[in-house]
Amino acid sequence: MDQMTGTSDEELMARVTARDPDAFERLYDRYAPITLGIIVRIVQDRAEAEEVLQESFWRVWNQAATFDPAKGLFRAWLFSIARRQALDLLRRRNVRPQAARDENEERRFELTPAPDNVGEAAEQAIAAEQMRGALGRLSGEQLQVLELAYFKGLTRQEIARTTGLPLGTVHTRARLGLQNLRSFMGAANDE
Amino acid sequence: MERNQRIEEELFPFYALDALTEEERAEVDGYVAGNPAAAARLAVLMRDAADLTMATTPPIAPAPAVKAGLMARVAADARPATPQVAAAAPPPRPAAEPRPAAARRSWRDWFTSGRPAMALTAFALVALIVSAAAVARLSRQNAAQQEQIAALQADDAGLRAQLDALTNENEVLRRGLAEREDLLAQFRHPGMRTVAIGDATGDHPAAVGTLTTDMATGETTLRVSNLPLPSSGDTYQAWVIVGETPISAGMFVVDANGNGTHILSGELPPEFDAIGVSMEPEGGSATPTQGKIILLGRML
Repeated sequence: MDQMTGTSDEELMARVTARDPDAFERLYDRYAPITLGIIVRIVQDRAEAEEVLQESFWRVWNQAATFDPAKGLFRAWLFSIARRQALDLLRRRNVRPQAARDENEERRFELTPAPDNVGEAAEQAIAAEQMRGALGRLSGEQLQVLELAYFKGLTRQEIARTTGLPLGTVHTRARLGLQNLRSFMGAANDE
Repeated sequence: MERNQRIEEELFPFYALDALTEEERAEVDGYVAGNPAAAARLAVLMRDAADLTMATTPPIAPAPAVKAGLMARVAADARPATPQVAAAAPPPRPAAEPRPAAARRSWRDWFTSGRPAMALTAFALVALIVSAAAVARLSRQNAAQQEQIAALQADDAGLRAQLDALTNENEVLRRGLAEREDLLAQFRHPGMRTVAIGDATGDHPAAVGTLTTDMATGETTLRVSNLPLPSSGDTYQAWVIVGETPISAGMFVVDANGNGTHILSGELPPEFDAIGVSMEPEGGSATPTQGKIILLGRML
């Protein structure tokens, strides 16, 4: 639930399904910056990333009826659409994505919140900061497997080959990484 | 409903991370479709993955033009379709004043009558007729070319379909090869201990298995091949044996070829003397059923 506006993502999506542009705009304002961050991280090109962003939200508008809140959160669904679009672009380029580990590279992009939604952006930034704190407590090995899967689009077999790890170890690290993230996030909320 | 440990432990995290092949994704979808408890566990993992994304990604403000373009498309799409209103009829023209009938003339007269403006008009009319004929001819040529393009596009679509089929076939082969390479890499990896197990009864000589323990994580994986398919209502159960005492190490399923993978689960002792696989009624048994032990191997 968004504390500032009192309307949850899922409620807004129900209105988007009924073709309500205002609800759609609210979701865009809420998630466009983080979604663009994900896409930029994968495609490494701001202009192309903005095209992918627009196409991703266009799909949200057109395919709203296929969103099933019982299967997961709206943001998980949106990120999945954006990530797939970004990976498709990479495949068309026939270039593998590069994980943006270089701080300077990341700062190259504008990090300011959208000017007309400072409140929502601030709320998102606080949540993200809290999660970054939890993330810092994950082991580097677990984080590596999670990032290779999500941001490089590698399958579990490809991760095993890339890292030289046995497949079973890749499974274990992914599973424990997500479990630990949840556990650390819970601890942060309790503090 | 029985919990499929292989799907939940191996595939669920990568489903949440959106990093499964289409076949694997379909397998997970099929599993959770009839298993609300598993679907709920998967939803939790998907939320974790979304949180991970937000945690690792700095937000970037899109250019205002992106939103403007998007909202323009949405507005055009959301606008209810207006019924096709018949175009307003043009206001009636005032009745033309009757003109006096002109005297008939030969067309040559137009050029010889000393009225160059009229001659020019006639010439323009002739030119228009010739042009119209040329346009008609070009239109016919264009139509023929369009047909050729359509035929080429149809050929192209056919070739693309063939290419897609070959690409898919190649992908399946590549994945199979990758899985075998992974298996080989596991056997060769330092710190991995692998034990072969074989047919316990002599009734299924093709049935074989391997037990691999990752000494770093303690995870022990059982792989079986060519097991007889269990009859309806039966399942496979793995056992670790300490001395003479069998301890259940979880149940698993095999595919249509009798192949399967199972990560040992349950309250397992750190060391054991032997590993066995038996066919048991669905839900498992407290001890292996005599005469139903298919595979057996001693730890070295």
